[in-house]
Amino acid sequence: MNIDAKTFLDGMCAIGAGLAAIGCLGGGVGVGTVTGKAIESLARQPEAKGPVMSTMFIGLAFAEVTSLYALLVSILLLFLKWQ
Amino acid sequence: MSLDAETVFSLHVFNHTINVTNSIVIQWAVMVIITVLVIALTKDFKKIPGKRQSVIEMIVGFISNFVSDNMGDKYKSFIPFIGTMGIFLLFLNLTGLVGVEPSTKDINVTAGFALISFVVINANAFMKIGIKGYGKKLVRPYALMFPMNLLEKFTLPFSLCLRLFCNMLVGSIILGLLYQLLIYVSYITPFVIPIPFHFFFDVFDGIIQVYIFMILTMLYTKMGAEEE
Repeated sequence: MNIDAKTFLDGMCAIGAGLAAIGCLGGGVGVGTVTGKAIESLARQPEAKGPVMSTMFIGLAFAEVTSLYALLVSILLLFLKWQ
Repeated sequence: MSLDAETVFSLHVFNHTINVTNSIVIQWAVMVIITVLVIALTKDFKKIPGKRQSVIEMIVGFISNFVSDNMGDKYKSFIPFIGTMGIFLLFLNLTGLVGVEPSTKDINVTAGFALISFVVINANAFMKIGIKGYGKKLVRPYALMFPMNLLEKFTLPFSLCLRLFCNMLVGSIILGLLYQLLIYVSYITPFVIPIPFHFFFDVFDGIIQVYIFMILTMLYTKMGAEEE
Protein backbone atom coordinates (compact mmCIF):
# COMPACT_ATOMS: atom_id res chain seq x y z
CA MET A 1 0.00 0.00 0.00
CA ASN A 2 1.45 3.32 -1.00
CA ILE A 3 0.15 6.66 0.19
CA ASP A 4 0.76 9.76 -1.88
CA ALA A 5 1.44 13.15 -0.37
CA LYS A 6 -2.08 14.54 -0.80
CA THR A 7 -3.78 11.63 0.91
CA PHE A 8 -1.31 11.85 3.78
CA LEU A 9 -2.00 15.59 4.13
CA ASP A 10 -5.76 15.02 4.13
CA GLY A 11 -5.49 12.33 6.78
CA MET A 12 -3.29 14.48 8.96
CA CYS A 13 -5.74 17.40 8.58
CA ALA A 14 -8.58 15.19 9.74
CA ILE A 15 -6.56 13.93 12.71
CA GLY A 16 -5.56 17.47 13.59
CA ALA A 17 -9.18 18.62 13.45
CA GLY A 18 -10.19 15.83 15.78
CA LEU A 19 -7.36 16.63 18.18
CA ALA A 20 -8.21 20.35 18.15
CA ALA A 21 -11.75 19.58 19.21
CA ILE A 22 -10.34 18.20 22.50
CA GLY A 23 -9.82 21.86 23.43
CA CYS A 24 -13.59 22.12 23.93
CA LEU A 25 -13.06 20.23 27.22
CA GLY A 26 -11.66 23.35 28.86
CA GLY A 27 -14.68 25.40 27.90
CA GLY A 28 -16.97 22.77 29.37
CA VAL A 29 -15.11 22.81 32.69
CA GLY A 30 -15.17 26.62 32.73
CA VAL A 31 -18.89 26.88 32.00
CA GLY A 32 -19.65 24.30 34.68
CA THR A 33 -17.58 26.11 37.28
CA VAL A 34 -19.11 29.50 36.48
CA THR A 35 -22.68 28.23 36.64
CA GLY A 36 -22.05 26.18 39.79
CA LYS A 37 -20.58 29.12 41.65
CA ALA A 38 -23.39 31.39 40.47
CA ILE A 39 -25.99 28.93 41.81
CA GLU A 40 -24.11 28.68 45.10
CA SER A 41 -24.14 32.43 45.54
CA LEU A 42 -27.79 32.60 44.50
CA ALA A 43 -28.73 30.00 47.10
CA ARG A 44 -26.94 32.05 49.73
CA GLN A 45 -28.36 35.40 48.62
CA PRO A 46 -31.47 35.03 46.47
CA GLU A 47 -32.12 38.79 46.46
CA ALA A 48 -28.92 39.42 44.45
CA LYS A 49 -30.33 37.64 41.41
CA GLY A 50 -29.97 40.45 38.87
CA PRO A 51 -26.27 41.32 39.33
CA VAL A 52 -25.27 37.66 39.79
CA MET A 53 -27.04 36.64 36.59
CA SER A 54 -25.50 39.39 34.45
CA THR A 55 -22.01 38.71 35.84
CA MET A 56 -22.58 35.02 35.23
CA PHE A 57 -23.40 35.63 31.58
CA ILE A 58 -20.23 37.67 31.09
CA GLY A 59 -18.21 34.90 32.75
CA LEU A 60 -19.95 32.32 30.57
CA ALA A 61 -19.04 34.29 27.47
CA PHE A 62 -15.37 34.37 28.43
CA ALA A 63 -15.28 30.69 29.42
CA GLU A 64 -17.09 29.64 26.27
CA VAL A 65 -14.95 31.53 23.80
CA THR A 66 -11.87 29.39 24.47
CA SER A 67 -13.68 26.26 23.38
CA LEU A 68 -15.00 28.15 20.36
CA TYR A 69 -11.42 28.93 19.34
CA ALA A 70 -10.61 25.22 19.47
CA LEU A 71 -13.69 24.52 17.41
CA LEU A 72 -12.71 27.22 14.91
CA VAL A 73 -9.30 25.57 14.40
CA SER A 74 -10.90 22.24 13.62
CA ILE A 75 -13.54 23.80 11.35
CA LEU A 76 -10.90 25.74 9.44
CA LEU A 77 -8.80 22.59 9.03
CA LEU A 78 -11.77 20.67 7.68
CA PHE A 79 -13.23 23.33 5.42
CA LEU A 80 -10.17 25.05 4.04
CA LYS A 81 -7.46 22.39 3.98
CA TRP A 82 -9.34 19.14 3.60
CA GLN A 83 -10.28 18.65 -0.02
CA MET B 1 -20.31 22.95 2.54
CA SER B 2 -17.96 25.88 2.62
CA LEU B 3 -17.27 28.85 4.85
CA ASP B 4 -17.65 31.41 2.07
CA ALA B 5 -21.01 33.02 1.48
CA GLU B 6 -22.62 32.46 -1.90
CA THR B 7 -22.39 35.26 -4.42
CA VAL B 8 -25.80 36.36 -5.58
CA PHE B 9 -24.74 38.94 -8.18
CA SER B 10 -21.70 41.06 -9.00
CA LEU B 11 -21.40 44.78 -9.45
CA HIS B 12 -18.83 46.29 -11.80
CA VAL B 13 -17.65 49.69 -10.62
CA PHE B 14 -14.56 51.29 -12.21
CA ASN B 15 -12.78 48.04 -13.11
CA HIS B 16 -13.53 46.60 -9.70
CA THR B 17 -15.86 43.69 -9.20
CA ILE B 18 -17.92 43.79 -6.04
CA ASN B 19 -19.51 40.47 -5.19
CA VAL B 20 -22.79 40.86 -3.39
CA THR B 21 -23.17 37.78 -1.21
CA ASN B 22 -26.36 36.31 0.13
CA SER B 23 -25.54 37.40 3.67
CA ILE B 24 -25.74 41.01 2.50
CA VAL B 25 -29.01 40.38 0.69
CA ILE B 26 -30.45 38.81 3.86
CA GLN B 27 -29.34 41.87 5.82
CA TRP B 28 -31.09 44.15 3.33
CA ALA B 29 -34.25 42.09 3.66
CA VAL B 30 -34.04 42.26 7.46
CA MET B 31 -33.48 46.02 7.29
CA VAL B 32 -36.58 46.41 5.13
CA ILE B 33 -38.62 44.23 7.49
CA ILE B 34 -37.49 46.18 10.56
CA THR B 35 -38.14 49.54 8.87
CA VAL B 36 -41.61 48.52 7.74
CA LEU B 37 -42.42 47.08 11.18
CA VAL B 38 -41.22 50.21 12.94
CA ILE B 39 -43.15 52.54 10.64
CA ALA B 40 -46.30 50.45 10.82
CA LEU B 41 -46.20 49.91 14.57
CA THR B 42 -45.32 53.41 15.70
CA LYS B 43 -48.09 55.20 13.81
CA ASP B 44 -50.75 57.23 15.64
CA PHE B 45 -49.49 57.02 19.21
CA LYS B 46 -51.88 58.34 21.83
CA LYS B 47 -51.48 59.68 25.31
CA ILE B 48 -53.37 56.73 26.76
CA PRO B 49 -51.62 53.66 25.30
CA GLY B 50 -53.57 50.96 23.58
CA LYS B 51 -52.51 47.31 23.32
CA ARG B 52 -49.97 47.78 20.53
CA GLN B 53 -48.48 50.90 22.04
CA SER B 54 -48.02 49.36 25.49
CA VAL B 55 -46.12 46.40 23.99
CA ILE B 56 -43.77 48.77 22.17
CA GLU B 57 -43.36 50.90 25.28
CA MET B 58 -42.46 47.72 27.17
CA ILE B 59 -39.75 46.83 24.64
CA VAL B 60 -38.28 50.33 24.65
CA GLY B 61 -38.45 50.44 28.44
CA PHE B 62 -36.71 47.08 28.69
CA ILE B 63 -33.80 48.21 26.49
CA SER B 64 -33.58 51.54 28.28
CA ASN B 65 -33.48 49.84 31.68
CA PHE B 66 -30.97 47.29 30.43
CA VAL B 67 -28.56 50.00 29.27
CA SER B 68 -29.04 52.20 32.34
CA ASP B 69 -28.50 49.26 34.72
CA ASN B 70 -25.25 48.28 33.06
CA MET B 71 -23.77 51.65 32.16
CA GLY B 72 -25.31 54.09 34.60
CA ASP B 73 -27.33 57.20 33.89
CA LYS B 74 -24.39 59.08 32.36
CA TYR B 75 -24.66 56.96 29.20
CA LYS B 76 -28.31 57.63 28.35
CA SER B 77 -27.25 58.66 24.83
CA PHE B 78 -26.12 55.09 24.13
CA ILE B 79 -29.61 53.62 24.44
CA PRO B 80 -30.54 54.06 20.73
CA PHE B 81 -27.24 52.63 19.51
CA ILE B 82 -27.23 49.55 21.77
CA GLY B 83 -30.93 48.95 21.22
CA THR B 84 -30.70 49.20 17.44
CA MET B 85 -27.74 46.87 17.30
CA GLY B 86 -29.49 44.39 19.58
CA ILE B 87 -32.71 44.36 17.58
CA PHE B 88 -30.88 44.06 14.25
CA LEU B 89 -28.66 41.22 15.50
CA LEU B 90 -31.66 39.46 17.01
CA PHE B 91 -33.54 39.54 13.71
CA LEU B 92 -30.43 38.34 11.86
CA ASN B 93 -29.99 35.42 14.26
CA LEU B 94 -33.64 34.41 14.07
CA THR B 95 -33.78 34.09 10.27
CA GLY B 96 -33.02 30.38 10.76
CA LEU B 97 -36.63 29.96 11.85
CA VAL B 98 -38.01 30.84 8.41
CA GLY B 99 -35.64 28.58 6.50
CA VAL B 100 -32.90 31.09 5.70
CA GLU B 101 -29.53 30.32 7.23
CA PRO B 102 -28.62 33.15 9.62
CA SER B 103 -26.30 35.60 7.93
CA THR B 104 -24.30 35.96 11.16
CA LYS B 105 -22.73 32.63 10.25
CA ASP B 106 -20.64 34.59 7.76
CA ILE B 107 -17.57 35.96 9.54
CA ASN B 108 -17.61 39.16 7.48
CA VAL B 109 -20.96 40.19 8.94
CA THR B 110 -19.92 39.67 12.55
CA ALA B 111 -16.56 41.33 11.85
CA GLY B 112 -18.49 44.38 10.69
CA PHE B 113 -20.45 44.46 13.93
CA ALA B 114 -17.29 43.98 15.99
CA LEU B 115 -15.63 46.83 14.07
CA ILE B 116 -18.56 49.11 14.91
CA SER B 117 -18.20 48.25 18.61
CA PHE B 118 -14.43 48.76 18.42
CA VAL B 119 -14.82 52.23 16.93
CA VAL B 120 -17.52 53.17 19.43
CA ILE B 121 -15.50 51.92 22.42
CA ASN B 122 -12.33 53.76 21.43
CA ALA B 123 -14.03 56.95 20.22
CA ASN B 124 -15.95 57.14 23.47
CA ALA B 125 -12.73 56.64 25.45
CA PHE B 126 -10.93 59.36 23.46
CA MET B 127 -13.80 61.78 23.88
CA LYS B 128 -14.28 61.20 27.60
CA ILE B 129 -10.70 61.05 28.88
CA GLY B 130 -8.70 62.56 26.03
CA ILE B 131 -5.51 61.33 24.38
CA LYS B 132 -3.52 61.85 27.56
CA GLY B 133 -5.83 59.78 29.68
CA TYR B 134 -6.00 57.10 27.00
CA GLY B 135 -2.21 56.87 26.88
CA LYS B 136 -2.05 56.76 30.66
CA LYS B 137 -4.42 53.79 30.67
CA LEU B 138 -2.18 51.97 28.20
CA VAL B 139 0.85 51.98 30.52
CA ARG B 140 -1.08 50.87 33.57
CA PRO B 141 0.01 49.45 36.05
CA TYR B 142 3.56 50.05 34.81
CA ALA B 143 5.24 50.78 31.49
CA LEU B 144 6.26 47.18 30.79
CA MET B 145 2.60 46.23 30.41
CA PHE B 146 2.20 48.48 27.35
CA PRO B 147 2.35 45.67 24.72
CA MET B 148 -0.15 43.57 26.62
CA ASN B 149 -2.57 46.46 27.00
CA LEU B 150 -2.25 47.33 23.33
CA LEU B 151 -2.83 43.71 22.39
CA GLU B 152 -5.93 43.63 24.57
CA LYS B 153 -7.39 46.56 22.63
CA PHE B 154 -7.12 44.64 19.37
CA THR B 155 -8.08 41.16 20.54
CA LEU B 156 -11.33 42.59 21.89
CA PRO B 157 -13.13 43.04 18.52
CA PHE B 158 -11.57 39.79 17.36
CA SER B 159 -13.09 37.83 20.23
CA LEU B 160 -16.41 39.67 19.90
CA CYS B 161 -16.71 38.72 16.26
CA LEU B 162 -15.50 35.13 16.65
CA ARG B 163 -17.88 34.45 19.54
CA LEU B 164 -20.99 35.35 17.58
CA PHE B 165 -19.72 33.80 14.34
CA CYS B 166 -18.71 30.45 15.89
CA ASN B 167 -21.97 30.04 17.77
CA MET B 168 -24.14 30.67 14.73
CA LEU B 169 -21.89 28.61 12.41
CA VAL B 170 -21.99 25.62 14.75
CA GLY B 171 -25.75 25.87 14.96
CA SER B 172 -26.17 25.93 11.21
CA ILE B 173 -23.67 23.08 10.68
CA ILE B 174 -25.43 20.83 13.19
CA LEU B 175 -28.85 21.65 11.75
CA GLY B 176 -27.57 20.95 8.24
CA LEU B 177 -26.16 17.58 9.31
CA LEU B 178 -29.42 16.77 11.05
CA TYR B 179 -31.48 17.55 7.94
CA GLN B 180 -29.16 15.43 5.81
CA LEU B 181 -29.57 12.56 8.25
CA LEU B 182 -33.34 12.85 8.47
CA ILE B 183 -33.77 12.62 4.71
CA TYR B 184 -32.64 8.99 4.91
CA VAL B 185 -34.86 8.11 7.86
CA SER B 186 -38.30 8.88 6.49
CA TYR B 187 -40.25 11.62 4.79
CA ILE B 188 -42.24 12.80 7.82
CA THR B 189 -39.52 13.19 10.45
CA PRO B 190 -37.87 16.26 8.87
CA PHE B 191 -40.96 18.24 9.90
CA VAL B 192 -41.03 17.22 13.57
CA ILE B 193 -37.60 16.29 14.93
CA PRO B 194 -35.67 19.50 14.02
CA ILE B 195 -38.06 21.73 16.01
CA PRO B 196 -36.29 21.40 19.40
CA PHE B 197 -32.91 21.77 17.67
CA HIS B 198 -34.11 24.93 15.95
CA PHE B 199 -35.38 26.17 19.27
CA PHE B 200 -32.01 25.60 20.93
CA PHE B 201 -29.62 26.71 18.21
CA ASP B 202 -31.62 29.55 16.68
CA VAL B 203 -33.78 30.99 19.44
CA PHE B 204 -31.86 30.23 22.65
CA ASP B 205 -28.33 30.58 21.29
CA GLY B 206 -29.27 33.58 19.17
CA ILE B 207 -30.82 35.49 22.06
CA ILE B 208 -27.99 34.63 24.47
CA GLN B 209 -25.33 35.70 21.98
CA VAL B 210 -27.08 39.00 21.24
CA TYR B 211 -27.36 39.59 24.99
CA ILE B 212 -23.65 38.89 25.47
CA PHE B 213 -22.66 41.06 22.50
CA MET B 214 -24.68 43.97 23.87
CA ILE B 215 -23.48 43.54 27.44
CA LEU B 216 -19.81 43.27 26.43
CA THR B 217 -20.04 46.36 24.21
CA MET B 218 -21.58 48.31 27.08
CA LEU B 219 -19.06 47.00 29.60
CA TYR B 220 -16.02 47.86 27.50
CA THR B 221 -17.43 51.26 26.55
CA LYS B 222 -17.89 52.06 30.21
CA MET B 223 -14.56 50.60 31.30
CA GLY B 224 -12.60 52.33 28.54
CA ALA B 225 -13.74 55.78 29.63
CA GLU B 226 -13.10 55.34 33.34
CA GLU B 227 -10.28 57.26 34.92
CA GLU B 228 -8.32 56.14 37.93
